[in-house]
Amino acid sequence: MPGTLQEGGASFQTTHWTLILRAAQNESTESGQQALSAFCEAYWPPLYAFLRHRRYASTDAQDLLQAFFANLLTQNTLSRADQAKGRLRTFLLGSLQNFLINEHDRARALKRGGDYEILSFDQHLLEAEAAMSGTAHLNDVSCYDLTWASNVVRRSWQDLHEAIAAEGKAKLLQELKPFVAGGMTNPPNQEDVAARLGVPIATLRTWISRLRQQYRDSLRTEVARTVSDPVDVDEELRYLYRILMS
Amino acid sequence: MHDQHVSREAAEKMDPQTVGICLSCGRPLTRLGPAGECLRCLVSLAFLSDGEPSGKEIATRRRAALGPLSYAHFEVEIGIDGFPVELGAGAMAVTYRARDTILRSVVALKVIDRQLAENPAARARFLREARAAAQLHHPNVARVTYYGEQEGECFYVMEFVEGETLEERVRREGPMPLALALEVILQAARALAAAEACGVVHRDIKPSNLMIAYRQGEAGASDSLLVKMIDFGVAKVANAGVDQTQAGFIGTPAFASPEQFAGPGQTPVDTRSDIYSLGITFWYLLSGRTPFTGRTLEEIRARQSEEPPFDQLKDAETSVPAIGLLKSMLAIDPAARPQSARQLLAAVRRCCKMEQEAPAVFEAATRREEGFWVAVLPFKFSGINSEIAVLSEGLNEEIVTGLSRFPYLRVIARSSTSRFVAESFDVRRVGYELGARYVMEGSLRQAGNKLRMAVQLVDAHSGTHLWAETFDRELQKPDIFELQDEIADRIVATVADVYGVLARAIAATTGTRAPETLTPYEAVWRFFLAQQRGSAEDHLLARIALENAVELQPGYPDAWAALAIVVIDEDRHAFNSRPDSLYRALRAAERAFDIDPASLMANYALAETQYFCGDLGAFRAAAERALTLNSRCSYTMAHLGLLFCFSGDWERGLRLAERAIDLCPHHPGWYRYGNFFNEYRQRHYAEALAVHQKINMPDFWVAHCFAAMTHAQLGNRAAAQAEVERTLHLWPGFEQIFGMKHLGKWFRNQPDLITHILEGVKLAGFRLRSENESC
Repeated sequence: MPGTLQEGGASFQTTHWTLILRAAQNESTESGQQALSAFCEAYWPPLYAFLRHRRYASTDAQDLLQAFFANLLTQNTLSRADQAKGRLRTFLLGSLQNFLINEHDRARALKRGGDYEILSFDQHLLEAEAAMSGTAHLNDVSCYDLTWASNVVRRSWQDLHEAIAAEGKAKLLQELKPFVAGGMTNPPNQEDVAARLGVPIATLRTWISRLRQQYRDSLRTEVARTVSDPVDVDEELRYLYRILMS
Repeated sequence: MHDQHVSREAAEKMDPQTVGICLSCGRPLTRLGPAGECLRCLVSLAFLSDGEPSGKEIATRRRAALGPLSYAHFEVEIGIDGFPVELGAGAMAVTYRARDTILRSVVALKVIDRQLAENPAARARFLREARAAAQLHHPNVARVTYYGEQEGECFYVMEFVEGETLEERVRREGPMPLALALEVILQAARALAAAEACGVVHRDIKPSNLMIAYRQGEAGASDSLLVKMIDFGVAKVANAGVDQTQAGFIGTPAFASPEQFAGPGQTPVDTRSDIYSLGITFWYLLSGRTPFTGRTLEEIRARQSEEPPFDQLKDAETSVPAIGLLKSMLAIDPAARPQSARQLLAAVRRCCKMEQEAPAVFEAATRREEGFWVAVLPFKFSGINSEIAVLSEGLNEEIVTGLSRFPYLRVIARSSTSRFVAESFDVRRVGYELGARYVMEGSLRQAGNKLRMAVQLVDAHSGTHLWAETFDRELQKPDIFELQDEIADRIVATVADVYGVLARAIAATTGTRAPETLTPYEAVWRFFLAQQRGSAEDHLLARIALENAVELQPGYPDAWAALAIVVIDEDRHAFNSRPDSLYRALRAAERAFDIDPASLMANYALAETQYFCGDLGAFRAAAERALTLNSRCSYTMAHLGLLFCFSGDWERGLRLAERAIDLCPHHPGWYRYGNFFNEYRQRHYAEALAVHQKINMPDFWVAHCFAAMTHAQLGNRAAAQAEVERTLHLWPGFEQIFGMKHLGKWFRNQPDLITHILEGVKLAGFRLRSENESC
């Protein structure tokens, strides 16, 4: 069954796991803290969506996630799982489900969640909530998968965006974006854009092609972080593709 | 309540209503990136080979590597955008519009997914389908004319149907009139009969596999309807003896028959399975929805074993013969359905004929299936005083009338219940006969001048008591009507009010269902459930249900009124906030009022929205109309009473609150907030605290905030501190939001009281943001 630990634990030696394990050991150092919070920030939205689908109130879901991440990091679950093979996506969901089952005293878990401030929800809480209304027809696991897939694709796009902006090419990116990322605006005429940028159209096409290639790499990198074996990247990508297209 | 600190722009951006179509890939933009990017376009890039020229590969990436799309002598048409014209895409194949280059005609070309084609079993199945469909020659079936394999792909060619699918038609125009739907089903039954003769089962009958063709060259084409069954995509050649057991589940769950769910080998899937799917399609044509929905296959399967939810057809044009036909088609046991397509054809014809003779009715059987009707049986009585018969009769009449004033209750007329007078009966049987889910019965006994009345409300479905009460009164002649009014008031309000026993029981039945599966009537009950529970989560679910409801049935005033309240709660309670709540709430309330100016809920919603929009004159007018329409609804009375108090009309407000509390014994504690603030504003803090203790709403943050403020005014520091902590626990963002602006939404024309409240809140130890303290 997808989304449970039966799919097989997890081992992510060269990926986010390594980061997390290292972080858990050096929790006190600043870089350790940063890596930890980056990890939690990156992966809470699908877990949150899952809990909200299970009819937890927003604040309860937030508290549970604080407690869950605290538990995940302190109980060394991550290194125990290290021996097996798997995916971060199924591992996290399986862990959360186990956490919910094992926390007999849910009220206690909720209350404990209030003690932790591992992650801050503020920035994207409304997006997470708004996304809920579009997924009401799905079951909790499908909703988790869909939020996960959206999250991965969005994040890799955001990463690319930031990398390009850091090179001082934010403006060029704005011009090229419509040819790559779709959306509600009609893709502009390539000749117009080429004229505006003062380059031959062949150059523009090369740039567009390069941007696509860059995004492809960014997405693959992002996905690679969540699987234990590089050969799984393609399969995981296909899975994300199917989820988003359905 | 938790979501208020997120920006409006973000809300606007994420509002699903503002989402449209991606202009690059043509798919709905439901998965958005941070700046409105299409996530589907983005994820598709992962599969592109380097340097391809355009953004539309997303839909066509499978074909992009193949060069010009040519299959045998068929050429796929290229649209003006330079891409192949796709007619449809299923789980394992894509259908294009193509040209037969020899005959120079337009055809539909179906190409199996390349990856699947590599699998010999899938390829064999595809060939079987093509052969099966090619055997069928019938005007109601789109004919298959060619099959081919080419460079690892396989394809077949079928007749091109110029028209639209039934699904597109219903989406575009809404549910169909019964006569038209019957005509469609009649033609589809003919197609099934032809298929049956060839030993073919379609296995995937659904509105998107039935097309309405535009007949070319005929005048008045709308009159000459031609239905074409397409895509025998998962058809099975019943007589070919080919084992298909490995195929697993085939079909579309919402339209699949119980035997298709049962799995291979258990029950044979034959024409009767198609008849079932056609039954669901018939239902869809009449109502725009499918009867059995669920989030998983198991859920759908479980629902199928229940009675179909006939209340979904309440607003459709339907009739006894049509309901009978639907029932027979949807029988869970294949042996109870028409046994062949021929039998079905005969049944549909019979139905069409009776349709012309029988008037549309909606009787006990349908009521039973709706599951919400209430019957009040004549009360039994014993005693020597002739007055008691008068009282019994009068009470019955008064209660039926009283219940009917609550627009959301469906009460069976007295003319139907009167035959149960003085009979000894089993409530469950009576409920069944009347089609009532809930039955009220009672008895009056007299001893001397003492009267004892016992009343009970029974869920006839389960036979359980929802409520029972005994009233002991003195029976004195001049008081008889007063007595009747007093008891009737009490019974009606206890039972029918939003916070009453019956309303709670009915509302609870909607809580376990997905909001988009509710009928418009049920959506209003989902709203009441959200009101009873008062959580942001229930608020969101009610909103989804109601937005769906007004779309399905735009002429239903109560759904618009409920939507108005839900939308205003986005603003006044900061539940699931979205922009422009006040404006949208007012529009919804006005819509409700326009549809039915005499509707209790419409007037109530209008009063509430006008109040929060700041038009106190309009508020009073609408409030008085609502109060006149039903003098026993504690729900409207308490809400409006509170607003009268908060608008400065304390006298009127407190009278209403008092009456509301008196009427409904199950009222929530907040009914007393008028009294509380009345004491507080006069600095009677001990009295205010005494009122507050009766409010007793431990999960309501407001309650703790006001308790803290009162304790602080009394100098009870420790108690105030505890309440402050409780408030902040329940609503961590309290100190960021609470202040002049928030209070100003509620209290009109009362700056002194607002200052007084803020003074108490600060005294209690809350640290409000400084800008919240001024207007």
